[in-house]
Amino acid sequence: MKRIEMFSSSADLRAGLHRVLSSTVLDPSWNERRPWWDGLPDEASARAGALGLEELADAILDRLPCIDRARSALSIGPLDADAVRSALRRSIISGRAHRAHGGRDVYGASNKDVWDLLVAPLAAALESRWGASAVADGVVDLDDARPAPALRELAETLVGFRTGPKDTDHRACADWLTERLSGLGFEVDEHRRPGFPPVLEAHRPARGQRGHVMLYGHYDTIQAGRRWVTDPDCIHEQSGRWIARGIADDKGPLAARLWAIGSTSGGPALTWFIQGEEETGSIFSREVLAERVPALPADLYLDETGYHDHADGTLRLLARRVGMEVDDIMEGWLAGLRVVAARHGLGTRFEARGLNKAVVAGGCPFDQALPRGARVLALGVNDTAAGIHASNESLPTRYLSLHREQLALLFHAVGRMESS
Amino acid sequence: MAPRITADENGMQDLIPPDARARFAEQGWLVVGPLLDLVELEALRAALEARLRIFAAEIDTPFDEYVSVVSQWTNLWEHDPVFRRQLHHPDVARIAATLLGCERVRVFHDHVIAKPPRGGSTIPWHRDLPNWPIAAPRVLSCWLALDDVTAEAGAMRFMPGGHEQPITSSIDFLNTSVSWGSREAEVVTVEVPAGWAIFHHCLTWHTSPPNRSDQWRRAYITICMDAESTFDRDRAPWHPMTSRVRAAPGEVFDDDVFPVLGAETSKR
Repeated sequence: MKRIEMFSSSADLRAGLHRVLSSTVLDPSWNERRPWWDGLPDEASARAGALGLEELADAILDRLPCIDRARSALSIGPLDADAVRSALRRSIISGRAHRAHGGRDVYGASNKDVWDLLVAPLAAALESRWGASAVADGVVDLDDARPAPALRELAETLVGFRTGPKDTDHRACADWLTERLSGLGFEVDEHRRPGFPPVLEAHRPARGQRGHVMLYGHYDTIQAGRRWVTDPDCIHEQSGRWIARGIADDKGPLAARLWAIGSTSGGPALTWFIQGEEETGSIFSREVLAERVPALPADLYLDETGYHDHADGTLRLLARRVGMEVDDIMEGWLAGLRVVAARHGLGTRFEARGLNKAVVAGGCPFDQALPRGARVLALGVNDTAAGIHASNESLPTRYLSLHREQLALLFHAVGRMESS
Repeated sequence: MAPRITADENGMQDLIPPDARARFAEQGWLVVGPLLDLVELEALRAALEARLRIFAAEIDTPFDEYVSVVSQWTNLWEHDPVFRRQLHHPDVARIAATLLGCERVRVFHDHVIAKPPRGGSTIPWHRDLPNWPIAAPRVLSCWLALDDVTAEAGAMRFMPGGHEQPITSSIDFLNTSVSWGSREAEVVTVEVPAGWAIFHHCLTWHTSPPNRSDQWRRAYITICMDAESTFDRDRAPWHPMTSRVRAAPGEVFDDDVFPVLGAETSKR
C-alpha cells in the first residue's frame, strides 16, 4: 500500500482499492464468517485481487456503508459519497482514455485523488494499529507463494533429526535449535534431566517494541509408522504440501517461526519454550513449564501452531483467555489478523478455544501452565488435511510466508498495548 | 523580444539569428513566432476538437466531462493528418536542429496539453529528460501555443539557466514540489500568442499553473531529439513510449515510431 506516484501503474491503484473493499471485514456489523468478496458479482476475481477499476468502483459504491463502518472502527471519518463517486468516475474516464487512445489526465492525478480519498487514510490507520504487515502490497495469491529457500532449509534440517520416542537425535536437535536461536539473538537456557530430552527456554530482549510474547513449540515427533510411502525423515513436496514425519506437528510450524522471526526486524521481548517430549507425556517438561511459564508474565501466549480449513483456506482464529472471556485487546488482534487474511483472499472463523490436544498424553503442559487471564492464540501454518501423527503427515506450504506477517502484526499490536 | 520566422530559404543561419541561439543556450528556452498563420492555426484547433470529440465518443463519455478529466494526448500525428502535417512542419525541424546544433532531428513523440477554461492543474517544476528514455540531453520541446497563453491562462514559467545543471533523477509530479527559495525572483513567466512557440531545452526547469482564464489554453508539443540520439531504457522504463522502442539500449531509435523530421534541413 505504497503511495501513488506519477510512475505508478493502474495496478497499484487497483491493489489499493481491493484493500479498501477487503476492509469490510472490520465493519462491526459484518458477519465475521462471511468473506469480504462474498456477494460481489465476480467473487473469484475479487478474492484474487483481479477486479478491474470499474468493477471495483461499483463494488465500493455499493458497499460504502460497510466501508464507512470499517473506517469508523479505525477512527476515520465517513466518506462523502458524491466525492467518492466523482473521483472514481474521473479515474475511470482517464483509464479508458489511456487504453483507447493514449489520452490521460495530468500524470495520473485522478488516480491519486482516488487514492488520497479512499486508500491513504485506511493505509495510515491500518499501519498505525497493526504495523506494516497490515498494509503490505495488494491482494496476494497464496497459490503463488513459494516458501523461501531458507525456510525450506530450516524445515529440512529439523525433519532430518530423528526425534521419535525410540530415536536418538533429540540432543543433536536441541543443540541445533540452540545454535539457531542464538543466531537470532536469543539467550538460550537448557533445562536438563537425565533420561529426558532437554527443554529449551530462549529469551530475546525487546527490539524496538514494547510487550512480551511467549511462544511454545516442540521438536519431538511420534515414531514413523510402516505405511509411509516416502522417506519420513526427508521432506517430499507434492501438490503444494510438504510431506514428512512431524512436519505439521511441530517441525514445520517451528521452522516457520524460526524463519519468520529471523526475517522480521524489530519485535517485543520474546520467550520461547521448545520441548522434546510432548509426544511421550511431557513428564520433565511439564515440571519445567509449570514453574517457568507463570514466572514470566506475557502479553500474548502463542501455542505451537494453528489451523486453516483445508477446503477453502479459511483461517481459524483460535483465541481464548484463560479463565476469562476474550477481551477487547484480543478482539483488536483478531481484527488485524482478519485484515491480513482478507488480503490473502482468506476468510476467517473465530473460535473461542485452544488447540485440540486430546491426543497429547497427559494434556498439553504449556496449556496447563498458563496463568489465569493469559491471552492465548493458536495461530499457524497447518490445515485440516495435515494428518497429524498419521503416515504421510503433511503441511501446506501456502501459509508459511503468511505466518510471518501474522507474527509481525501481533508483535506490533502487542507493542501498542497500554497495559503492557 | 522573439525572432520572427522569415521565409528565407538560405538555411537555418537566417532562420534563428546568432543572438537568439545564444539566448537559447544561455537561458534554456527561446520564443519563436509566428510559426503558423491563422488558417493553419484554425485547422489545428478544428482538428483537435474533432479528434477529442471522437475520443470522448470512443469511451462513451460526454465531451465536456471528457475534457475536464483528460488533458493530454500523445502521438496525435499517428491519428490525424493535420497533426501529421504539423509534425513535419519544416520550420520546426529546422529551428530544432539549429538550436540543438545537429544535422537532423527525430521526433520522440508529440502531444497536446489542454487546460479547459477555469480548469486544468498545476504541472509542478520539473525537467523533461529524466522522464524520457533518451541517453543524452540533445533534446528539446517545441511548445506551440494554439491559443493566446497569458499568465492568467497558465503560461509556462521557466528558471533561466537551469538546463546547465547536471542531469538529475526524475521527479514524481504528484508528490513532490520544488521550491526556488531566494531564486524565485529569477523565474520568468513566458506569455505567447497563438501560433507562436517556445522551444525549451530538455533540462530546462519549467512549470505551469492551472488555467484561470475563460479561454482554452491548448498547446501542441513536439519533442525533437538529435536524430543520432540513443535509447536509454533505464532512464525511464515506465514511460509509455519506452515499450514501443524496438532499438536495443544504446542504439539509435527506430524510424517508424520515431521518424526523422525535415530530412532536408541539414546545412547544405
